[in-house]
Amino acid sequence: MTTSDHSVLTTKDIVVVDLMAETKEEATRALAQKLVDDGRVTDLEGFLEDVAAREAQLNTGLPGGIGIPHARSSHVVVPSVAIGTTSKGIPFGAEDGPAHLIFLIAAPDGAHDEHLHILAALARKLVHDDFKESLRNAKTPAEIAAIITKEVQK
Amino acid sequence: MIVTFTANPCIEHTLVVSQFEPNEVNRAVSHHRDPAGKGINVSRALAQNNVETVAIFPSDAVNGPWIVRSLAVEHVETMTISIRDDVRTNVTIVDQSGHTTKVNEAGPTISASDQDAFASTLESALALRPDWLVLAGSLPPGIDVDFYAHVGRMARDHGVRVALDSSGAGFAAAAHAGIADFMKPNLDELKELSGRLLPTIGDVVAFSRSLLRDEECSIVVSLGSQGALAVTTETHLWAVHEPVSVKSTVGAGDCTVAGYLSADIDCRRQEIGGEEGLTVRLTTAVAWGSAAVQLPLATLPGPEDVTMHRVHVHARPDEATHIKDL
Repeated sequence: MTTSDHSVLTTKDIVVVDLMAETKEEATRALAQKLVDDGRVTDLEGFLEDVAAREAQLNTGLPGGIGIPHARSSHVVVPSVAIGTTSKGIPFGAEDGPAHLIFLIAAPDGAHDEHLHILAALARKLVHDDFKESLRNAKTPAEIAAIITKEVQK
Repeated sequence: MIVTFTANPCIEHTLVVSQFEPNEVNRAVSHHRDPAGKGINVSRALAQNNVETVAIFPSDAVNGPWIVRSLAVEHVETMTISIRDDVRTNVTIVDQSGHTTKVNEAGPTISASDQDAFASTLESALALRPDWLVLAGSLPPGIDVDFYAHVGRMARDHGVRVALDSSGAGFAAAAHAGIADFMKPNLDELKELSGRLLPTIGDVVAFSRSLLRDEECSIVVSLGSQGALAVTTETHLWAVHEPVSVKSTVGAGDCTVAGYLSADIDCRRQEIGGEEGLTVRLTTAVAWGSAAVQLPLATLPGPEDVTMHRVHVHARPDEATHIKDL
């Protein structure tokens, strides 16, 4: 099995444009499967349990059509951000409506601070409408991966 | 109990109009008035979260008593010092297309006798043996630049810990006097104080340590959406809140201070010290600050708004990391 470049957070292989999913569980599973296929996550069900544990505490949906399911997990090999877009929207618990941009953050368990770097970088970027707009307007996984590499990767 | 001092309080009068037009009669679709000023904000945030607090501030004939009554409704006790000039009213016009227009009054000029009255009122509050005295906000015209340093020494003589959150010359004088047990500058304020650029975590940590009097003292440097760094002589921690939707950053720094101090009281009661205690304090500080930015202008978070488990903490991040790369 060939995998994408693991030194970057997002490659085209872990981006899905027009995600086929009705629920946040389906969306998260579809993106997590991409991470498994790319060798970034070792155990799909184990990883999904860790994401669900976080999601059970509080919805990760943000106003403005954003969903950020995430977990630090022992099943994660390298820090990764899988991304799904959907024009019809998937409910992630935000008050103002469904999510059109979904960021699945996967960080390895352990003493590293990659998880914080990803959260901080996304927090900084998501304040800007043009960042969200550029992702929504992107037509291909490669375009989206390039935006993340440029704007979020440190 | 936490005593706050606000040298230059104000009434924040917010007017919401559908579309603001200069040179026209604009009609407000809604309006509200809030008591404000950094120390008053800290007290309001503490009271919202059921922490006992007393706010001390100068009061005129009209605006001051209004602030006192408004704070009483929010369970904030007050002690005031009468002054001759008007307490400020700051007007904010918010337009529904998102434009904000502010008109701030300069505020009163403080005389030498006013300043003596400030000091003696603060001294009587210190006699109540509060857990903390919070000196917050910049000093108004007329007050000696070393007023905070002077009051801080007074607090230390009473065995009361001092939190300092200010800027400008009054902050610099107090920060270098070693009177503060806790300070919460943002990165720009810390840079200004150091006169340097402080590009890396190591630079921020080293300069912050130069301001710490002993191992009991701490500094939290707020970094906006990138969270905050806590520094003691022993360690440094970085905390980030998960991404949130930002409504208004006004007052968020004051909530950060309130969160830190509230957690400090809990930690001392439960004897949680060292890095564990610092983690709890920093997590609470960042959680309260992040809760505040998600609320509309001048709305302060209560317990139901604070999401501690959405704050992630990392001990001793690499000192070579540039702050801009966090």
